[in-house]
Amino acid sequence: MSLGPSLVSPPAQSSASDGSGAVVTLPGRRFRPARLLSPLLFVGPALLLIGVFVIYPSVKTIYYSFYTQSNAIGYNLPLVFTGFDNFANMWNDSAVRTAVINNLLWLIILTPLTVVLGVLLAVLFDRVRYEAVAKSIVFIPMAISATATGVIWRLMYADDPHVGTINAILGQFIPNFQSISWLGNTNLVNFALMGAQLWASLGFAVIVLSAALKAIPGDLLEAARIDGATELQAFRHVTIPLMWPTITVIITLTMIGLLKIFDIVWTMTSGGPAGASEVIGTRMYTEAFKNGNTGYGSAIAVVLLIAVIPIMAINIRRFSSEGQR
Amino acid sequence: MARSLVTRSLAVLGVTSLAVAGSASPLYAGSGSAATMGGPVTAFASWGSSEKTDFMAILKYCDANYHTKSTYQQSSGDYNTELNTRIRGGNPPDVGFISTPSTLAQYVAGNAIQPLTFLNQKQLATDYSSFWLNASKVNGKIYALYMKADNKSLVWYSPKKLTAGHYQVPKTWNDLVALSQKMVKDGKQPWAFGTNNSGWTITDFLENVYLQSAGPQMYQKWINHQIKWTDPSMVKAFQTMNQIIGNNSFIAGGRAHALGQAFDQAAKQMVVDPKVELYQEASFIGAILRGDLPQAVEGVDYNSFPFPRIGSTSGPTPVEVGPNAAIMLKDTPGARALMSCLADPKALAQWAKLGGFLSPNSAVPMSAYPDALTRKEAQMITDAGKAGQLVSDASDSMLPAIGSDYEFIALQKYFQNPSSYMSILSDLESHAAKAYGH
Repeated sequence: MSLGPSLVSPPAQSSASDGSGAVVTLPGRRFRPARLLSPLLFVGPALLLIGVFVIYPSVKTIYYSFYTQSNAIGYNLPLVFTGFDNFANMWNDSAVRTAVINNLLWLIILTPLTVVLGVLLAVLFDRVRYEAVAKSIVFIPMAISATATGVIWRLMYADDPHVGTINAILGQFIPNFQSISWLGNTNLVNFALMGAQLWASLGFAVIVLSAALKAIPGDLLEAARIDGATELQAFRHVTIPLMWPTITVIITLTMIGLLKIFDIVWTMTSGGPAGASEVIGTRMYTEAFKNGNTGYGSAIAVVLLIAVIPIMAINIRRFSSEGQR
Repeated sequence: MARSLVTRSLAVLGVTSLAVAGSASPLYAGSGSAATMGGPVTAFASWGSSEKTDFMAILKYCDANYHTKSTYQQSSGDYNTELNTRIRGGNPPDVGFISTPSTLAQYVAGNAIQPLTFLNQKQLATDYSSFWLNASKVNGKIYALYMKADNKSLVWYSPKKLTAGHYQVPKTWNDLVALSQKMVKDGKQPWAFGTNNSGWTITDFLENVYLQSAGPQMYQKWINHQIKWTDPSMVKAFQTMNQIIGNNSFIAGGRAHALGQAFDQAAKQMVVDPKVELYQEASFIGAILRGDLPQAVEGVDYNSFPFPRIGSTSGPTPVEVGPNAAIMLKDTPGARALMSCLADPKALAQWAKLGGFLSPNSAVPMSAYPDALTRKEAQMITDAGKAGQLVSDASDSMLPAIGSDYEFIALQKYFQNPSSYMSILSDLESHAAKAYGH
């Protein structure tokens, strides 16, 4: 983003020397390898890491997705090129279908819920004296790993009211309450998992949105009030538009996070019972590593990658347009 | 540095002298002297908690008697996945332990494991029944050393509750169904199930019903997909199984509860919940209950009876086992010594003494088992082995593409809606046909 101003100088050589800044104004008559060296030194280490840990595995995954190695838990059996077979098979795979539907369910329910609750809590916390305490409480789950979150919530949802806090609380308020099997009931399990995820991820949204809220100049709101706007109108026409860039960031980050959701589901149900809580991530893992279908698992991963790309693209475009403003 | 070297050499000396005193058994080490040389060896297994402690004790025994310097490496989760990764990455352990017989041939095909030709083959042939010898061989060579097995043909119950209810241990399937109905009349929900995370507990139930109703030969055909999942014998097994699983009033806490609870929780439910009486699972439940419910007394609060016969009642009961084999991934003196140690009935007897361990090696004396429960479980395996009535866990023996995750989920769906068994079976059949290519 900070590259913007340096582009003002002659553009001829800029592509190679953007990083070093100072050399941009030099007229480049001859190719000088030394000039390449310093940007390479800056970018090199990061590029190497990204190459080894992101680009190489991604390319390899795409490569594997066109091959099939079935019926073997992995030894070096030859891979057979099968073109788009893996992708075609996904259409008829009811487990993958369930996973995709569940993933969409996660997106449709949890994205708005995270944003609305995030904004609501940020605004409400802004108006109380114990704001720091309240925010800390919501933020604490961020410090807990997703795996630990899964373990904690498995206990929270336990059938036995001596263990399961949720059933214990419901039992206190509802007479003749029969414990609910949150994670055993195929109709409830997805929503139960979403609850755990919301608990774990809401804190981040609240903190970021709260920061955006604080950045809104007070005189803008004051001006609105002087002009006769009600609190609700001020919120609707001043606060929300000014927070909007941050809200879209939260939306895209939440969506990406939900598309690749894995750890919470894996630790709490492993996609069960009876495959009812499968998501794309668990399907990919099960096929690639448990069923030994490296190619098929890779194909699922590729579909996930393709699903994430547009959201990432929107996010990156937003960032760069902001940089130019 | 120098000091630690001295201490180490002293330690080695000490171990060596101990070994001489303990007299290593050359019988099991085979004829080659390389095997008795011993040396460093890594043993990679999935055993944790008490099972790990017991195994470490055996490694110590082998260190002392077979000159090994063993290191235990525990897998962090999915054993097969991790072992494969290590093999592919060129970093296999020296010795591994597998519980899925289906993978043995594939390891051999991939040149990942070494034949155990250095072991005394004659001795193995006398110590193991033909079922185990066949299971260890690929292309006529022994690749697996079955030193441990779980007896999966058991139903767990609480003798205390059984006596209090004036019930009898059932001998036949019809007795078992009648007993369950009687228990329901007495206000109980007799059957605990724990199918959370995977449906393997239901596969065990199905395997027992199929084994008892169709017999070991058909069972073997089922594993190799020489019969279809929709075969009349399989349909009949599901109909039989539905007499228990299909009955809502039998299932402790209801279906959703059973689907949400893990297998070990179900075992505890059987002991602790006054309404629950029965639980079908393997011999390892004994070790779990010992660890999780230290106040519960074996033989009083929990015990097991053989899975009841269905149809024929003559001869020894067919038994399903969950086999556990040591495989050698690197041919080193240390690995050979450890394998020799694990073939030695004396070492296995040491293991048996610690409890919760059954060995397929028939040279392990029954007196090595610490209590009546494990002795009975081990005796069942030995008797069935002699009579050719032994089979291994079907889901673990099928190709992973069908016998693992796919069957687990299918059977969870069946458990959720038992009347849907025909559509579940035809779905399993079409998937199996694809996996086996026939």
